[in-house]
Amino acid sequence: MTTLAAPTLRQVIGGFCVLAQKTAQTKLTYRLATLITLLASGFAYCVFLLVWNEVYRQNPHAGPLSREQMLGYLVIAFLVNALLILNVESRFLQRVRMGLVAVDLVRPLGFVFVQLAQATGDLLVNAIYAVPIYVVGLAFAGSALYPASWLAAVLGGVSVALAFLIGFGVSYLIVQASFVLQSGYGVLFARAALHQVFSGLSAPLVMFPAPLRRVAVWLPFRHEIETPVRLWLGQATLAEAPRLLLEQAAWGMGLVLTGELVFRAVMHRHQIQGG
Amino acid sequence: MAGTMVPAILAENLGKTYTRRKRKSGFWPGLRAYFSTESERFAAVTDLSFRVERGESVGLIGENGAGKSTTVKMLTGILVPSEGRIETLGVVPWRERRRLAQNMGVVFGQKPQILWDIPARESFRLLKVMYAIPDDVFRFTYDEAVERLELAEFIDTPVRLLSLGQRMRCDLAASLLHAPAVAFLDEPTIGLDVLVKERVREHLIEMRRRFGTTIVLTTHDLKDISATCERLLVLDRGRLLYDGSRQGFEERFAHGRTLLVDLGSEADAATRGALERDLADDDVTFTWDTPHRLRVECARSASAPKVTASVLEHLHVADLAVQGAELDAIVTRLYRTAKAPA
Amino acid sequence: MHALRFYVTLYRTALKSVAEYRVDFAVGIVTAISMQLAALAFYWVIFARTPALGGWSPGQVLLLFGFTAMVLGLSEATLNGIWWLPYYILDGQLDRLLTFPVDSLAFVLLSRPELHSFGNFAAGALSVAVAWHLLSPPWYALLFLPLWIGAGAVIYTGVLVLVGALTFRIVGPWVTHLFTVHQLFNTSRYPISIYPRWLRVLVLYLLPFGAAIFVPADYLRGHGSLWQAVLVPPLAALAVAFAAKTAWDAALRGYQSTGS
Repeated sequence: MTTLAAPTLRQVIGGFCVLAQKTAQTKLTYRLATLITLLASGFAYCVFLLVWNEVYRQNPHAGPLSREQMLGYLVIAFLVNALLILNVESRFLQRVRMGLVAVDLVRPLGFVFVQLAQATGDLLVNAIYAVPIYVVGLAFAGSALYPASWLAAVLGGVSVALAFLIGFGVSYLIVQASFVLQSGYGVLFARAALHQVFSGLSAPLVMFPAPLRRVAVWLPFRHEIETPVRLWLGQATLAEAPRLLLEQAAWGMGLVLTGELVFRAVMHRHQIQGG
Repeated sequence: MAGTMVPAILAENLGKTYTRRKRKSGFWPGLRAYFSTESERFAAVTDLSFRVERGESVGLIGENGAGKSTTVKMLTGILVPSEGRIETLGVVPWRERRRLAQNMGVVFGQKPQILWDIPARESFRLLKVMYAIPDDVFRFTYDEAVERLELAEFIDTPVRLLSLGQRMRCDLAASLLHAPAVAFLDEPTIGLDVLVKERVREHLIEMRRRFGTTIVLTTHDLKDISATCERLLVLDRGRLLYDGSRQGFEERFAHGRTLLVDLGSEADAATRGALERDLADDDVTFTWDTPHRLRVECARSASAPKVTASVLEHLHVADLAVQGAELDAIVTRLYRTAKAPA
Repeated sequence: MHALRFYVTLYRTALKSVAEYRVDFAVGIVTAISMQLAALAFYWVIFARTPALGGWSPGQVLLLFGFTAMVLGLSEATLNGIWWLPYYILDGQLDRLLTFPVDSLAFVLLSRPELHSFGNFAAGALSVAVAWHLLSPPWYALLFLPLWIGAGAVIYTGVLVLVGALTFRIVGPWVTHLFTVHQLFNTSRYPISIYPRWLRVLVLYLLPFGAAIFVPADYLRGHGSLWQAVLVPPLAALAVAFAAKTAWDAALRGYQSTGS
């Protein structure tokens, strides 16, 4: 048996970019679907805003954050969330249905990179939508949405990138679960549930009752939304920043690596059983 | 549901135009296309007129994209035509889809028709209730399908465990259980092996014999047509190229036959010349593919026996075959000429 | 009569098919319950900061939550097929369904019950039971509970169909537009009084989820009248069902299939 040449770094990067671009293009083709998704999540978000609005209307000192701080937090949280909606699992499930997964598995790029490239494509398109929303948001909420400082803006940006890695890591784990289950949608919704509570999407952790907060701290989800938002708005102190970013990086790497280990185990089993 | 004089199918100047949004490749063009609402129109079927009587069996052939499936979908009421008039069993299909459906059977061979993962027997049971099939009819059609298509060994297996061919057989059986007045079979033998194809044809013939079913069959395997259809409709790029009997088609488009001769030993120039002189009065052309292989194209006026005799006399023949009278060869040639620039 | 027998057989067949996958069933139930717990967790966050929301006590809000979950569960258990429409179109299965002599909408709806629905339904029923205990409305109100939940399921499904009819235009493997409806439906979990006027009009009159959830709940907490609570939900359900059927038929006319 001859040794096959491993793809060069240039080939890997090239393949990565092509896939990301293709994904972005496909997503842009379904413009109506994307707009509607955004509308849906925006709407669901309005409900959170309205609920909090009512709470603060009754008692302006309902929590440690002021009404304005809360508003800023929720709007930026919505944007970070919109930026990080990745179609990794649904795309995968669709390809399972169409019987196209085999194609992904034999690509020279490696399965995890294929998924990561497609997720990057999602991110690109999301950015096309998120930026105008931010600008519109500025017109309404103004200074409540500004980054606290230039440094806060940079830290927030880095944090979003790490949040992307965490989100991808969780999705990638769900993809592994879908290999085993007939319908992966169940896990997908369960993740959405956990994400909704523990990411800080509906309120920052400081607003949580103590027991709930204690659970949230030990889960990766808060680093997907709360951490980048607090860094951006300066609600997290600069002293906290390095620790938060390190935690994010650790979660991100850990999740992706775990996903990859599970993937290898699953593939191994498939090969033995002739899946 | 309709008088006896009503034809099974009536199409007059039928046309179907699809509207599609323009898509561009490349990131930036894609982005620009995103903001535009340009759309393009694409005529799948144009000015199609034909009539099929009750009990007829019609083969609908044409290359991919010729408009076969679109035509079948209009005839079955799935698609609304863009122009023209259409009637199946005396009703406008899309307007009275459900009434028509009760008397119609359909197979779409290209797409798996598996809605659920249950054994075929249960699907058949559901269909019996759906069409309210009388017990005696059901007993006949069910037994006929199970025996003829040899379904017994997998009829109780969940469909996800069946092979493509097995599913196809179940689909075909399912579409004919209610002994429909008209059956539209869009590539019912796709992906089947030769023996099973034969079974499928026998099943169709038997159902026709028993119930006088009108059959419209689209296929790429022309043997299906030779076995089951008397009449042919040939579509090319959405237009009707030929409508008539199978024999008529063969006579009209078969420009004679081709004699394929394999030689035991190379023929020298003298031998070749002698043969060509011998047949100089006949309308034939000689082509030497290799020194061992000769093709003699005989026009319809040429006498095949005479040509054959002459070839046998002059050459040391190892093997001899006559080609070109079959539907297959004619259609292939027809497609080739239709494609060539006019 | 015959039609009824057919639809019952159809639903039974579909149920049997879904029940084939046991692991998924178990996962589905756990999922459904975790989704409901997530929603309850948000209530927890809220009511840790305020004693009442828009004039509704925690028990009253729990009633809204329970109704919403029961309606969702019932719709998913019976009329869930609309979520599969995009796949039916892409796979060409819709073409086959259209050649059946039965109502295509009813067929699609009944063809795919979702087993995790029982988790949603159970979570909802449990919440309603707790809320009922806290609010203690008149005993005979219990008789109308099936009517309210049934009407709610028809309205929710009906709106899904209205929006789902769009699928015929935007052929793609997405159910995002249906998810939007689901999100809108979740407004029923909170008192309608916290919403701005346009939103109240939307969820009470245009996509009348509120008609089947908010109106009865308001009566049960001792505000609205019984007449209103008994009449409004079924009437709204009828109107939505009619609109949905009309939209479906119109959409089928413009259906282009998958081409070729």
